[in-house]
Amino acid sequence: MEAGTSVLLVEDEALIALSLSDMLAELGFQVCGPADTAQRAVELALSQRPRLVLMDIRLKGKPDGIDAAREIRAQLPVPIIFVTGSCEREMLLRMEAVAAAGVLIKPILFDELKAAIGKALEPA
Amino acid sequence: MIFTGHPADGENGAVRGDKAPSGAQVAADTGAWAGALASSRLAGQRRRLLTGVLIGCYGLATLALLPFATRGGPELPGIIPFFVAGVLTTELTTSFLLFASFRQGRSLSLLLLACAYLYSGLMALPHLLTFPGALVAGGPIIGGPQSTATIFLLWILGYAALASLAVLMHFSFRNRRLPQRKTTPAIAIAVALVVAVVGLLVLVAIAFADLLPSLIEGSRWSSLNLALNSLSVAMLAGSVAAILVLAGDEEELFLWLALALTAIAAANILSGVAGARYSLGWTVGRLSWVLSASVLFLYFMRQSARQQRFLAIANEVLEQRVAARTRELARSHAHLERSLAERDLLLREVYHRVKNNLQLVDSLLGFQASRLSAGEARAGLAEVRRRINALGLIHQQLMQSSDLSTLDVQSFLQALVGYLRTANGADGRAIAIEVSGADPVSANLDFAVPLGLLTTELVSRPLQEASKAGRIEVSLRKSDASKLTLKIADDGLTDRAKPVLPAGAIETRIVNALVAQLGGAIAIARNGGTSIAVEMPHPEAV
Repeated sequence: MEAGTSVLLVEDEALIALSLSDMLAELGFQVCGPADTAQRAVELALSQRPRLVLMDIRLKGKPDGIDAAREIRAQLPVPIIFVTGSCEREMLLRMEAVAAAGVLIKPILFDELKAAIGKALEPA
Repeated sequence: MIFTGHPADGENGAVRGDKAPSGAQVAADTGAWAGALASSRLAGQRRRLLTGVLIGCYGLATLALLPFATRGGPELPGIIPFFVAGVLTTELTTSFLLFASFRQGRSLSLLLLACAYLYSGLMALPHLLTFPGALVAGGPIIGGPQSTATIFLLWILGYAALASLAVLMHFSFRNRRLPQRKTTPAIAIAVALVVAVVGLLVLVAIAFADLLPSLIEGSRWSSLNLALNSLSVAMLAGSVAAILVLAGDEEELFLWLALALTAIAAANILSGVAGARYSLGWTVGRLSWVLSASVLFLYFMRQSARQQRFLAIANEVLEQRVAARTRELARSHAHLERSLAERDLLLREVYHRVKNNLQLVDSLLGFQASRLSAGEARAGLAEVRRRINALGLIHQQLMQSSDLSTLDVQSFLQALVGYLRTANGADGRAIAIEVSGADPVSANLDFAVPLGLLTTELVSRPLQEASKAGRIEVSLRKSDASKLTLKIADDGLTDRAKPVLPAGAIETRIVNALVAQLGGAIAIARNGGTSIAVEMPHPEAV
């Protein structure tokens, strides 16, 4: 993985965001964010142009993380890894429609995160 | 069924079993019934009055005819077959309808009345056969002159006696009913008795006519004949009086019966006063008899028409109620579905929040652990995080279950072991973990929480202690119909010299407490590897 690569972290739970930030930092990434709303996520994605987005699905208010991902993907060809507490069928179908680079189910373990990011950043 | 009981009874019966709808709907629905009931009560009072008036008129007409009763008419024996045919048809039909009424109402008075009409209908036949010139010229087919008069008097006396007995029984034992199971045997016995009595009387009247007292002298009635005729009139008049005095507004059948008995009594009076056959009184008496025979038949026809009308009203009311109830049910169903959907949403939200909070606790512990150097404290926090995440997994599985209260234990174990494999770094150490167990087990939180924590303890131990590559097998199987066995076995990953559950260790205390909570027993076997089996009651059998 390229050191210093920027990852946009979208997570509305401050402690989980902090925990993921630590893990990303340990993996050598620069953390952009965290954004806690879909709108803020889109703004940061467009202004910071990260190499990867780590997107929680349930965010503060509406729209949710999948809507934000759709908006970002419409303007940037950035890989997006979803982070979710549950994987209901309807949600999985919506994530598929956004062509997610990966889905991580909480709790996220360091090794899982490392493997998912590695796969998402692999050259096509 | 159609002919029995008062229409108002059937009407109430049709409505009574149903739950009444409320408010304006009730008023609208029952309006027709209320109107019908009120009109029925008024009709009852009018019916009594009308019956009294008709009987009075009939009596007056009879009295008016009496001075002319003795006038001779043409000798027409050919009218007897028509008279018999009319009486036979209507009285046997009436008898059948009365037996049907008895089957429904189970009152002995109805049974006796049915017998009276059966008797009268059957006696019409021997009357035809013994009446001179009725079927063959110059004389009867069977019997002699006395046979004709004997059979006729037995006919009118028998009918009057049975009908009077029925009236007496009705007003003496109004509420006495025969048990339902006895109605059919009672009808069979009654019919057999009537047929036997008719047969016996006819036999006696024909075979022993000469030995019996003379009832006809020449062409005129004897004094005994007149006396017996008067006796029949007295019985009939007494019955009519009893009905008029005692019958209630709703006892319509007996009011109609009073008309029938009046017509018969008038026939007997006219015939008795006439003194001989083919007189005016005798002929009018026959016509009055035919009229009498038709009265109850007409009553039943009227009842049938009225029942049809009430049935139509009942049907309409029922259809309205069914439509209203269907609408109400549809509303309730929609409301219930909305409530269920809301409950599901709420429950999923609760599970999500619980899981989220457990993740927050995990994150906090993670921060704390990251500030510690590798050692016992950091390892301890890692243990706690594994337990917390096992709990989180249970809530995740529940959130995804269809009923939101039970989860598929086998699938939960798969997910839990998958997590433990990663959390304990098994992937990098070539340790394979296989989860097996084909028996589907469904359980709620009470079972899943201790089972999940127990599995976390028992699977984490060999994963942490393993010093080489190897294999761990986790299975949950039915040991018998009411028991499950959770088995965690390794192929020698751990140091056999080290106790599996060291005395006093926190892990040991946790395992023992969880096994006790599950109501199970733990067994440890060490051969090539270590096998831990926990047998516990099946959650679906508890």
